[in-house]
Amino acid sequence: MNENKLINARRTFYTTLYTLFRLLEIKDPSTLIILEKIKELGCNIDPKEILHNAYREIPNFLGRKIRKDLDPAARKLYPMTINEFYRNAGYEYLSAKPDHLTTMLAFMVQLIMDEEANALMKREDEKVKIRRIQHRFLNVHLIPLLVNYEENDIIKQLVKCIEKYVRNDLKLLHSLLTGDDKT
Amino acid sequence: MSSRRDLLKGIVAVASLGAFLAGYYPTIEQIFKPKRQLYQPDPQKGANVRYVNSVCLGCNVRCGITVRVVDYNGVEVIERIEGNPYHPYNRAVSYDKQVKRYTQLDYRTPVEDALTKWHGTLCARGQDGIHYVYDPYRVVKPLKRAGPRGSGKWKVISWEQLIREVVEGGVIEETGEKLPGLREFFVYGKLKQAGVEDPNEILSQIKEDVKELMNKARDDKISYEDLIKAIEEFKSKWSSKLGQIGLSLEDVLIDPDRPDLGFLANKIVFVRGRGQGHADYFYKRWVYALGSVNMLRHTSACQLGYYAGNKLWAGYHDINADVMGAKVVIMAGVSMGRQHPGATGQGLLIERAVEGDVKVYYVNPTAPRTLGTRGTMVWVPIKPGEDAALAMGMVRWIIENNRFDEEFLSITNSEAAKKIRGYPVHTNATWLVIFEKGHPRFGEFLKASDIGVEDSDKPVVSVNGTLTVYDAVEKADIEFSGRVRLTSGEEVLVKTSFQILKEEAFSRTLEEWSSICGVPVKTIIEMARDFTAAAPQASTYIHRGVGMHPNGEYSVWAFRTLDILIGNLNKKGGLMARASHTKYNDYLYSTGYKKHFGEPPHFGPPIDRHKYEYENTLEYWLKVKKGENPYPAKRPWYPLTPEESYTELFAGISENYPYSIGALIMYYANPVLSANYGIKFIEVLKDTKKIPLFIAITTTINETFMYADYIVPDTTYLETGTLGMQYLYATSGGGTLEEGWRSPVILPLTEHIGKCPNGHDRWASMWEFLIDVAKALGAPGYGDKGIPGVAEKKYEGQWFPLHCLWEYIMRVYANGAMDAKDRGLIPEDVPESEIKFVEKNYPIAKFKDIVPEDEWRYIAYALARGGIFTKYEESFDERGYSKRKPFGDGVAKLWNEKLAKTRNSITGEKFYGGPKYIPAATYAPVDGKGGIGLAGTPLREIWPRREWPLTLVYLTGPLLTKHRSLFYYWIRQVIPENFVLINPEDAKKAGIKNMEIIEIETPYGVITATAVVEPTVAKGVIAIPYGLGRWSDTVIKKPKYIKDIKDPTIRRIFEEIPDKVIIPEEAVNPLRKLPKLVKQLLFTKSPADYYTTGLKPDEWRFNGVTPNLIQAADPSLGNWPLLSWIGAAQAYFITPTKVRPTGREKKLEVPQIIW
Repeated sequence: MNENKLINARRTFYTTLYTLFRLLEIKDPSTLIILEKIKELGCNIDPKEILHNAYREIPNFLGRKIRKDLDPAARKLYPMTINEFYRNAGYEYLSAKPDHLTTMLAFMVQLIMDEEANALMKREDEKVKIRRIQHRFLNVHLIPLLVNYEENDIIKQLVKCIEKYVRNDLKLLHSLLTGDDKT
Repeated sequence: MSSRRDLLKGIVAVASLGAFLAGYYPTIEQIFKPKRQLYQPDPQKGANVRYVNSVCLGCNVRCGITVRVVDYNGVEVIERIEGNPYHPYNRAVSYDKQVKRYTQLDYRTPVEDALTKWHGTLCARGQDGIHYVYDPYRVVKPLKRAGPRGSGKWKVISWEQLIREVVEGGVIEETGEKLPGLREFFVYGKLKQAGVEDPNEILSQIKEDVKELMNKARDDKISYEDLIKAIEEFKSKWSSKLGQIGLSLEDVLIDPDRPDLGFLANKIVFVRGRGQGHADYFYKRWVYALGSVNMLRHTSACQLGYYAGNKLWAGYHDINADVMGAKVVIMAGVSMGRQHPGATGQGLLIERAVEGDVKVYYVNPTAPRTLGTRGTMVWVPIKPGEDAALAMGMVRWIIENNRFDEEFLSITNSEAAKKIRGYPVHTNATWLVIFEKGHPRFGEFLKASDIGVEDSDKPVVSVNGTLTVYDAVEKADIEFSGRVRLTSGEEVLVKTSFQILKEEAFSRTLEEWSSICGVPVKTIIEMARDFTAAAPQASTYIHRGVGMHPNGEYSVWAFRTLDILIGNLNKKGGLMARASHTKYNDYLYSTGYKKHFGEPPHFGPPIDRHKYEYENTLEYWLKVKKGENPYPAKRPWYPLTPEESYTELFAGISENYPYSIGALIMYYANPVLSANYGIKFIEVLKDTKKIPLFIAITTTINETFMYADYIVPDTTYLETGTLGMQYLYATSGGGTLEEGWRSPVILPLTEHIGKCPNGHDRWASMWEFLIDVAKALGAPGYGDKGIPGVAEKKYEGQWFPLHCLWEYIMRVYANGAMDAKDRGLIPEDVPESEIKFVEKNYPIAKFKDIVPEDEWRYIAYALARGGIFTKYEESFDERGYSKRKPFGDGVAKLWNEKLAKTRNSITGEKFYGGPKYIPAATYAPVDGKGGIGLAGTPLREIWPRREWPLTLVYLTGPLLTKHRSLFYYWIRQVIPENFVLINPEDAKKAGIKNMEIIEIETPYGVITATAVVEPTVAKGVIAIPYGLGRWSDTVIKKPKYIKDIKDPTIRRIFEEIPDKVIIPEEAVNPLRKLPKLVKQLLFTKSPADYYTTGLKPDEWRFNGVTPNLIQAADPSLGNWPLLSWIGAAQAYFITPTKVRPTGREKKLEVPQIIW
């Protein structure tokens, strides 16, 4: 797969996840199709139950609540912490929940879109820099959020499945950054 | 192991599902704003803009700054302050890459390149330094009191009148009070006036005679009567000799019956608050020129406990973690963003932690400002004052689990260390200590002469049980405890220093240590395990929270024992001291204070009795010879502290101990607000009998200076304030040589006071004031024969004039630059472009004619870069050892014999000579309550927890300083007021709600503050961010948050503070010439009369509270502010407290709390 296609696949991957969770939040029945397909990919999930639980659970999918691995004080300050990450990476976040799962997924999409633009313009340094930021973001924020999710057993099944894919993406990024095809 | 292709499969599979959602794709671009460039070149670069690289003074860390000055039709305005990319603390960023960097820009980078391609990061406080200069409340003309002390009434006087009255004495016309002049105490001048050609000859003879007298006092064979006779003979001799020139003993000595107290000049006391670089050397030189020993600093209110603790184990005071290279850092008592390398430089540590390069244990009762996100920043809440218990718990685990560097500890001496480890640093772990309880030599090292192996005082070690001299073997037993027969025939118990430490650590179980400090056993073990696993790239990072307690020095030492155990000293990632610096005081010109400018001899104890033994006074020996118990002394003496004490300065003045003073000259300080319970000092400040002459050198009239007789207007650090070289505190960024150079960004905004004989302009400032006073007195080292050339260098035998600041500071720069050039740090061939840059941009270039052209070019090179810097990467050898010399005496001590021989000067008990957990206590027993041997009564016995359940601490951070914070106008928008942090559990117990106004009561008073209920403070602790709650800053606004001051005298004086000040408008406000629009932009939140008159009280500026007013004092010492036992450091983190709800609420102006 050439580079443009690879970037495109990754962007669509995160966009899909982002959209899935946004739609689950409003109990949109069309998500059942996606959930069934995910199940077919080998994930042990119950799509109907997920749809039934998600509209209550997803709005609370916030780092400040989920990240039990952090001190209470750190959890409280978590929205500020993650906002700082966005700012340091050169982005301004415009809504109220910077630590929400969907915001984080959207951030990944945003980063990959910028990566794509730089790749097209052959700005290699910039492209690599954005990949590094993605790598760090996955490591520091998105994956720990998925890892620490314990709130609802039904949703947890889906989260664990997605965690597996996101971890693969982290490995892929690592491979792109190091030039090592085996990870 | 998966291939890229495998990894992509799943991703593509999920991505393909997106097809089903295509119609639902939201516009993600609306969630995040498009990417922007964080760092960009200055768009204004071009005409009418100039740049100066200098050094910040937002706090004392000394980061580099690049300042942009814009010319508005002849009026220069400082518009922006950024970081200097050459400086090791500022973490350079290139405009091209926009990537954060850990290290600074290469020193040889052309300055134009630096300016157009590089950016240095800088904290918010540093950027807001603009408001320090443009502060409407700044005093710009000399002022004299025009009413009783503290009345707030001032009048403008001329510079000439100021100098004349300070030297000759003046009269407060409104009250009729007569003020003494410095000439009254200037002994050198009196002798000159009496016709003595070389006063130093007579003064040296007197000093020698006093030395002889003290030798007699210490002689066992001399009786009390003999000693009295010797004193009388001394008096008779000098009474006669001085009488021949028309002088009496009283004209020369403080007290003829106590000649050991020194010359009368000791009655001149100079005290500085924030001291930096050459300001410090300059006024020290001035004090010595006047013949006084009393050059005091604010260190007790700064970090003296940390200094004194380090001095005990290392023989050097400023040592800390190499945060650039450490893998694990125990960050104890360090306020994040405050300790060196400061808010700017500490970003490095935080960034490293966030990236997983270092694990930081943040040991503090208050939470760090960030915890990162991957568990590499761990908050370890601890009970204030109980730090040593945590350290001892860790020591126990490390020893128990054999996780220490046994080889390092077993090395006995420096030569062996060099041979075995390749670096000449070792410990005294193997040295044997006499540990026989009750023995007069308890705590002393066993000496070679004691066991007859050698007639020397060399320490003795054990090798498999056989005793020998420490330098006869390379390694010895670290564990030994046994009885030894001395040559005197007696048998004593001896132990190695390591054995003593081990027994101390094992004296309690881990559970018991945990119970004392409040840190769970699991955490103690985790910390010890991580620390030792990363050794030697692990280190402790210590500051005030550990050191500024009664037991602070022991706690600092306990933590530092961890470093000694893993052998990380002078190693990458381990402990390091300060970098070296150029010979800026004595390379070509002798600009320092130590020698060669004709200064008179000085001797005697300083007023605060620091670095001076009570047992070295006649007071002590007269009691001993008389058969009396010499203890208690009237107040404590602090022979082992490296620096000075605010409490003991004022207590000494108040109690005339060891003598009364004549004049207090205070510079850039505010002890009333920077010491715990500093409000006690106003009792002395207001008393004209205790302080007959009080001169304040300052930019604004603060809570201390409102009691001054004269106000000398000073310049800020962006003008001529604290110019010159700025050494960097430990670890100085890790390079081998680091020094910032501060030069003016703009010329002063204070009153123009004429010209130097060389034709250059002069403005009112500390520098010019001291020069003019010294010249008027006829003090050596000023005037035409001011600065001597250094011996054996090109100017040997020559003298250079010192009539104004520029003649001093240009020669300081020349020293540094020429040394740096000869070391190869500055290139021999300085490009012309570098010189032209400085001549075009820097105000200091106006004065280049003071030094020869071949010195100026090298000066210009360093000025262009804001200093002289070397690289961290190049400062370690291949073994990871620093290329710097070992710090201190090169012996890391687990036992300090000198400390073990030092006595508490009230109780007469000896101090314990090693790291130890001892509860915080008063200096001496209180009300008959049992003492704890070396010190007094535990604080919690005096103020039990059942009555005082909480402990009050304060917070400093990256935004506010202790008291120099009011003028940071932009920062104040972020934190316009402060509050008290209280843990939710404590709040619940006390019935306190979030945002409720509460009463905070301590044994010394009651204040009110808004409660912020948060788990960011440990249970049992309340914390108040420091820096606000002011009532005087030229303008006065009486505070409303003080509900009670329990001492009736202080309460009365406090109530006497006037409601307003009376100052002529012309005396203040340096902003008048600024364009209107600039003023409006500088003060967006204030009405115009705030910055047009300079005297309008700004409600917003004086809000908030300060906890200092009600912090702990020491009831065993007359209720003067509580100090540490050894260092005399202000103990401001341990005030027993209780809180009450009031039922009233207050909404904070800025809801998002940033502290």
